[in-house]
Amino acid sequence: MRNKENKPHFDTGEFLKKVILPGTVILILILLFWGDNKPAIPDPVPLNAEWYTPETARGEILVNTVMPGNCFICHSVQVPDQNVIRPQFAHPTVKLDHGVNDRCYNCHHIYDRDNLAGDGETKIKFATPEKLCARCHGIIVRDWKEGTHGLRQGGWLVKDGATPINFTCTECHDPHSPKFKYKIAAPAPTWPEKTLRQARHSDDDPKSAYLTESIQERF
Amino acid sequence: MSTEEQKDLELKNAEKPEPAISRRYFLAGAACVSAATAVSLSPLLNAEEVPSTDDFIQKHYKQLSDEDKKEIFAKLEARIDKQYGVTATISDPQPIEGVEFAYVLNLGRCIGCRKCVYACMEENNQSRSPQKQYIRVLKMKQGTVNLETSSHDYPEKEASSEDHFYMPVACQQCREPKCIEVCPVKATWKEKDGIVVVDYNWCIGCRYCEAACPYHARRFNFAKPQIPTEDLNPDMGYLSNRPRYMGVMEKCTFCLHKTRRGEYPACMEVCPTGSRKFGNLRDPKSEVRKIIEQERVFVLKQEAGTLPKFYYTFAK
Amino acid sequence: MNKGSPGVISDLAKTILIGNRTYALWMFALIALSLLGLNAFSRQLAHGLYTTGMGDEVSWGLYISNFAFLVGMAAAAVMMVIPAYIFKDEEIHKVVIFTELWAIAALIMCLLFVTADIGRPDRLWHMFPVIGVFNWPMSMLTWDVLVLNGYLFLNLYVCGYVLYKKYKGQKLVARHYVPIVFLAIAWAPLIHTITAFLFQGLAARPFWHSGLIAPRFLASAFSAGPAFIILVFKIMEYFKCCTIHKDVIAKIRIIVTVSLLVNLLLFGSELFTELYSGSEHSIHLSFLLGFHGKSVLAPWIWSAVVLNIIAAIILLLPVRENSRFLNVACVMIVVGIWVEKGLGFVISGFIPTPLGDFVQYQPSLNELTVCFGILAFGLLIYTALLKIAVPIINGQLCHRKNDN
Repeated sequence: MRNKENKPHFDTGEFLKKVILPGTVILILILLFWGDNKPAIPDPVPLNAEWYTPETARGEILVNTVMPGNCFICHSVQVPDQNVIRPQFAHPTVKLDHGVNDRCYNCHHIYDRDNLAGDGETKIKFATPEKLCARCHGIIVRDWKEGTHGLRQGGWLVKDGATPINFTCTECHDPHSPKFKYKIAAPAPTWPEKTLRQARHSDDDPKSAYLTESIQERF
Repeated sequence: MSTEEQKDLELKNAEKPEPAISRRYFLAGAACVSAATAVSLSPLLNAEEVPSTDDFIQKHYKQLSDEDKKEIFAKLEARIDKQYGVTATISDPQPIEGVEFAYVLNLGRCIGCRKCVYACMEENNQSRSPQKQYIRVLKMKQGTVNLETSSHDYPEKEASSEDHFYMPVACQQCREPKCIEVCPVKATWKEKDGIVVVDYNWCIGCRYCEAACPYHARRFNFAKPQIPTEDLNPDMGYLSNRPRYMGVMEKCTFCLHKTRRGEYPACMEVCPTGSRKFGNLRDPKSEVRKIIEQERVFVLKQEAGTLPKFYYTFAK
Repeated sequence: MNKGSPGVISDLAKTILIGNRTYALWMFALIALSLLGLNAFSRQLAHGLYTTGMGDEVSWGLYISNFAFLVGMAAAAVMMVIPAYIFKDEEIHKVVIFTELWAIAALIMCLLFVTADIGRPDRLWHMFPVIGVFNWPMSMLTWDVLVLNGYLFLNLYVCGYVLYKKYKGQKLVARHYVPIVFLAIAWAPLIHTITAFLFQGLAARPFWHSGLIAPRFLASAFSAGPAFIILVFKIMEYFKCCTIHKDVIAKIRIIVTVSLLVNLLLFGSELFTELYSGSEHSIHLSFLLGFHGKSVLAPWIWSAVVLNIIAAIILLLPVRENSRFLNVACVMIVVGIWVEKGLGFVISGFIPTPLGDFVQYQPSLNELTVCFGILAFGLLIYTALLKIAVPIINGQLCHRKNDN
């Protein structure tokens, strides 16, 4: 900085030749070799259509496929057994797992298998199962009619005078085993490797466990 | 050194005819620095997205006239055609009068299948790689609502687990959004129907809104978004799902290109268990209004003062 | 000989360009580092912020950490200006301009760090009031833009005025610059308080949502800034630029000691609040300290705490008079405060995310290079400014009058 008169004069030319020029060349080489390291991002892959196709919770292959045709063909000649809980020959895959129901004829009309059982001996069509379901699940059917339960078709903006269309009960719930067994699930989100994220598939917080343990387990 | 000696030295220097650095050396040094600077700027030649002059001078969305918008949309559609080979339509539906959107999610029904996440990705043209997802489904143990012990990356096989419940979280479209308060350029704002939108051509990418959001709802495009051509959804909205740029924010917009036409958002349409309800809060006959009035609903992080429009309920 | 403006510029140019071997090597190294940083930034402009270690979870990283730290360093110049102008300390008054020049260099670095962090720097014009949209007064970032640029201009004016007058050999007219100095005294804590408000106004980040952030910021800034100034003065003495009276160093040392103790007190206070209650609100601090699973930041924050405590002890013992111990303590303070403010505050506010997800943050090589490049560029500017200022203040560099 100063001290020109104390030290020998600093020779700019020498410094330029010996330090700056080679230094610049090295710097330029570093810059060129470092090059343009574009971050490695994998190519985009189209999504699996299963993950975004709308369907009801009963979207899987219906296990309890009803037989096609007129039920009356077979059922006209048989004398109905009041307490049957599992069909003998036909409909072998039907397993009744519907709460306290232990009798097919709780829902199916015992004399007219083309219809469902209403109060007394009234008949309910298969196309309007909500009338049957309302016999036990009245509150839910009320909600369903309002649209607060179940899936609604169309859009939120219902044109004047039009009635919103809901999916029927059996389009989502398997009547013989109504609990959802919907199993199509889509993959977890992915993070870039640089996020250094440790996977945590389930919560294993001991403190939270206290909140949900049964008393018997603790004592 | 005394002042006189200093003055003598100055005068001596002043008498010297040649400068202390010769012009040649100065120019050589300057040439070295310039060459090195030019080389150091060379990666810009491989820039993935270079804004055009029109992009550069484009005004804020709210300052655009209708003709401006038509021009801009036509330009964007041409660009999409060129890049993806897909004919897209960019619409700009305005908020419907007397409509305020709300969303209700029934945690008693959600089975954590994540179809809403991917339907949203598909509908809104989100980047597949690096992956951008607006909705994050949290898996929590029955009995606790502790977000810090929730699982974000439970594998598919663990969906519909009996001991857990699932909580999808996306933008809550707050009534008092914290994100719009902190944006330095007002690139994000709340529309009349309650949807908080982002003008992708105005955002400067400072990510202050991402820091301010209590629900981790905003996403930033750190890299250029990549969407495979076959997945591109051609039904686009200017403020919602048109392909975004590198370096701008994005977020859930309640699929405004659909909902402002009276349709349901993609996440609601795809939900197989009917956990999601969407509608107009001001309409007494809408599902959302009925649930909010009749069921016990709650919102996330009420203490943050955001007054979200996204309600959760535990109805059976 | 020369007369008028060309003389000024050629004088300044010659002063900056001519120096001894150490100076030339130092400047060459800084230019080289700056160019490497520019190269890394070009890469970032070309490929987006994906080249950094940031992600949607930790969306502010090393750039904003350095920004917060350097705003503090810039504000700390006020700790020298107050003794010089309010208490009229003669010795400090002689060297106060070197701290004001450091404020300029630090502010330039701050602005560069913010520019490096922006996703679309080509759209920065959107922030201008009339041609763009300026969300003032709602957005704290706009406040920050105003006060930082204001402070930069204040310091540029004061330093420019003083140096120009001294260079011309004219007397300084007090009322032309002293009111601006007093304005800068009030402005300096303001810039750092507003930077703190940027963070502490966010209810979404409970780690930042505390009233203690602004006082902590100021306390840490007023210990790290003057500590850095002590080191600068020691270096200047080593290169025989000027003689700094030992009372000056002693007084700055006292400022550093008090600020450091206040900073440790505030940090201890936060530790107690978070950890005593055992509530879930302490999750950020627990994770940072390594109590909640593996944390990459834990070794850093523990080292910073240890460094600060040891430095505080050194500054309280009689060995503080010893120059070597003082230098070591100052280096410890600067490093410790940098870690505490950057890694221990900005980055750990993001972990866990508002939805409770834990990620780690590691800056990428590109990001680090940009940071070092900007720091080198700031030091380059500061060295150049000092190279001009020292001879002018010492009276060696004067505008040569036309003798003919």
